[in-house]
Amino acid sequence: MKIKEGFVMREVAGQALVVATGKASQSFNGMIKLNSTAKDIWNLISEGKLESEIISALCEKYDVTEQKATADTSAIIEKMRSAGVFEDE
Amino acid sequence: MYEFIIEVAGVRVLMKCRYEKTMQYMSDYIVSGESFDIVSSVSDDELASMINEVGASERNHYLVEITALYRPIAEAIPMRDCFVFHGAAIGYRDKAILFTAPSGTGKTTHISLWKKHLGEDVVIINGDKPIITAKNDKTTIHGTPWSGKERWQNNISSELSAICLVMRGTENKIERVESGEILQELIYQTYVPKDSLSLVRTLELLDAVLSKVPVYRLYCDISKEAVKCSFECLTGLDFEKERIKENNSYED
Repeated sequence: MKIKEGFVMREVAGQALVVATGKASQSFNGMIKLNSTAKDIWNLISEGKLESEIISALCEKYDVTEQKATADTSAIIEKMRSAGVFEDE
Repeated sequence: MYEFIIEVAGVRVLMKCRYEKTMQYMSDYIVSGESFDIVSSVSDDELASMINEVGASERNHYLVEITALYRPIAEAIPMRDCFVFHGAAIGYRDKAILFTAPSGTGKTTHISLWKKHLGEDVVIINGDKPIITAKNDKTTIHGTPWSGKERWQNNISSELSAICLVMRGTENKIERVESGEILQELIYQTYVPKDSLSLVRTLELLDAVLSKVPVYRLYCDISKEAVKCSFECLTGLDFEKERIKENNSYED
């Protein structure tokens, strides 16, 4: 999982927004709003972490069961994937 | 083609237009001198397609040109720490307040009520598309020629002291809100550039503004009470003391 070049996250009023810049903006218009979990996931993906590593990081940071963290991570990653933010694998 | 230089929000723009009325519309902002920072023009094709899109009659072609000429400016100015915001800005003594809302909600009406009840101390900065600058820790709101159908505008700038989201309500109520709570509404009213560097810069500027300027949500009708409600909260002053006293006029 690698975020396409050109996707940029900025925080506005404490909320994380992802916008497409440069070449990425030709295929993506608008903004993606990330809640705090999604923001963590975004940052971890940016650091090159794998899905399994992301899940354990979330479990460590939040009081959440592994089952729930797995489901949430997978749902959020799927949303990002359908928005086209990842390089083709 | 007419060519002239205007200055908005401290940015000098070389304007190129076809219609004399376009130039007249901007007359309050025309400055002398040769130097400029950016250029604003619109091609024949672009203008023709915009005219087509809105179905403007020939005598209104200049209005489409005016609208079209704001776009190159709105795209370029974020790199100069400014962005275009949809709202109605007024000055009251040393304060400037920006009322914002989707079109048709009643911000123009609300400002008219301020003028009616508070008189000359209320100065219109811009009724539709002012420019906000976030520079050196200061947030400033600037008049521009682009001022909506009422053409409420003055070529003045003032430090912005509050942003107020106007909503229709059955009772008059104003509350301070965390800007994150109404971020979506605020982004809808922000000019979002197509140019990606300008887009990212706009988000940074908006964040800088929202970290400095308090944000309020106002529910209001069109009564005098509505003005009392927003005025007292936004200025900290006593409405009864400051309002215009009508002589022998019937009051409900």
